[in-house]
Amino acid sequence: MTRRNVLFAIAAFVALLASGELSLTLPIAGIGPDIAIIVLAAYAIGERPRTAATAGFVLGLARDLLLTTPKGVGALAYALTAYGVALLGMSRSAPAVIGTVVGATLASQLLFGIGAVLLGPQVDASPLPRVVLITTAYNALVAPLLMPLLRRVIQPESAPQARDL
Amino acid sequence: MWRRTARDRVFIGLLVLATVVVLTLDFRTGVLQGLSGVATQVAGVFQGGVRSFVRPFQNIFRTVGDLASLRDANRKLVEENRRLRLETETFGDVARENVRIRTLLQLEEGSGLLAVHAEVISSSLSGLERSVIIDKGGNARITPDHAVLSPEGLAGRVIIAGSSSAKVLLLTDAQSAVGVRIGESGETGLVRGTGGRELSLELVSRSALDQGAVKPGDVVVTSGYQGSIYPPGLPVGRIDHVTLAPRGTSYTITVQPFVRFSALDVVSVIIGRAPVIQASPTPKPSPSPSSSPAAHQ
Repeated sequence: MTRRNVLFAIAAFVALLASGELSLTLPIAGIGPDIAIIVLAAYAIGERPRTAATAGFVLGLARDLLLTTPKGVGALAYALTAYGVALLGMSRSAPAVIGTVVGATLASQLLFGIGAVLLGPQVDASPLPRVVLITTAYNALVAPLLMPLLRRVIQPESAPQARDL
Repeated sequence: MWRRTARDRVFIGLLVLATVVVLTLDFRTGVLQGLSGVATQVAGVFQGGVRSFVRPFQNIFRTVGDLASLRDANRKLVEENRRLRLETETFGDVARENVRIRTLLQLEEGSGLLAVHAEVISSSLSGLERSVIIDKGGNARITPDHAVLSPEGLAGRVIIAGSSSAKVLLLTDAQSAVGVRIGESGETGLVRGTGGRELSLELVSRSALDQGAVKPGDVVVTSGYQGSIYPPGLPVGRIDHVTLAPRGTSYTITVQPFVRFSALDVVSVIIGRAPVIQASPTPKPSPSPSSSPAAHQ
């Protein structure tokens, strides 16, 4: 296990704790951010898609275990989102990185929400649009603060995509 | 762009397969439920530490948030008070908690329940789920399906209990349902969470609704029928709207919960009934009616 993977695991764990804390302390309309997807996006940017997706699956499964929604839905949502982020490749400009993180949040929330509504026996669909929008907006506020640190700690120095194509 | 190969397609297929396996394990076995308990326990331990660190700052954020709407009128006052508030915030927080615990004690005493006090240390990771984690668990005799009270009334029930933390499904979650009695009419119904801030009241007698026996302002309390996990008489909320559908086929009833779920900090987990103490043989005069909300029911 490389140093970067260890740092990612620590950052992901802290992100899960921070999300729970912010949902309790500083919610927007009762809804907190999803810091874990920001950490995952930071890891996936410039990473190989399969590696990113595997990391996403594990992180999503850990998050699923802390929720009452069907286990596995969040894992797949995170895995596919990380795969997509890794496919996009590495960008050097800050706005593009933030845009990627916000897009990743939107995609993961939609995938997770739709999956949970379809498979969860009593998950109500009506709050879904509100939850997706507020979580994405919250992450858009938090991401510019976190990404510089996360990029320094867990993002690879060179993009494997540069070797491809 | 990364070049997608046949191996990538196989990998995506494997991911989907792994998800199906996890879902099957979740729906058909209790393996993941046990893992969920362990995860809640681990998160609870660390979250307790985070909570104790963040707590002094939390009320500062709340206070600033409350004042935002009055900023223009109160700017000078806020500036003058900020320094003092920072100094006294920790003490004020303890005092507020003291008041809330006293209210909780009154609520428990009024209903003869045996309870364990706990602090909320974390909230749900997804907006689709309304739950919190508390800092007490199996070590404090808390087990799943124990009712959870806040000073204002019923807050929810325990769904997962680790040794030193537990997860509480709030009343507002769409998976929550509780049998209730309504106001003076004594009609019964089922209060369900909606995933939002309000609750919905269902399964109320149609004739009672047509006669106007159930109306806005009525207080809703737990019915506590045999087999229910909620003791009778716990305050749930107040009826907000009773709306007849346009074609007159059904009623929609919304209930405003008494509990402010956005400000949930201390709770009581009902772990049983308080032991009955034998009264002295000398008859005592009957006590005057209590003013606690539970005593009305």
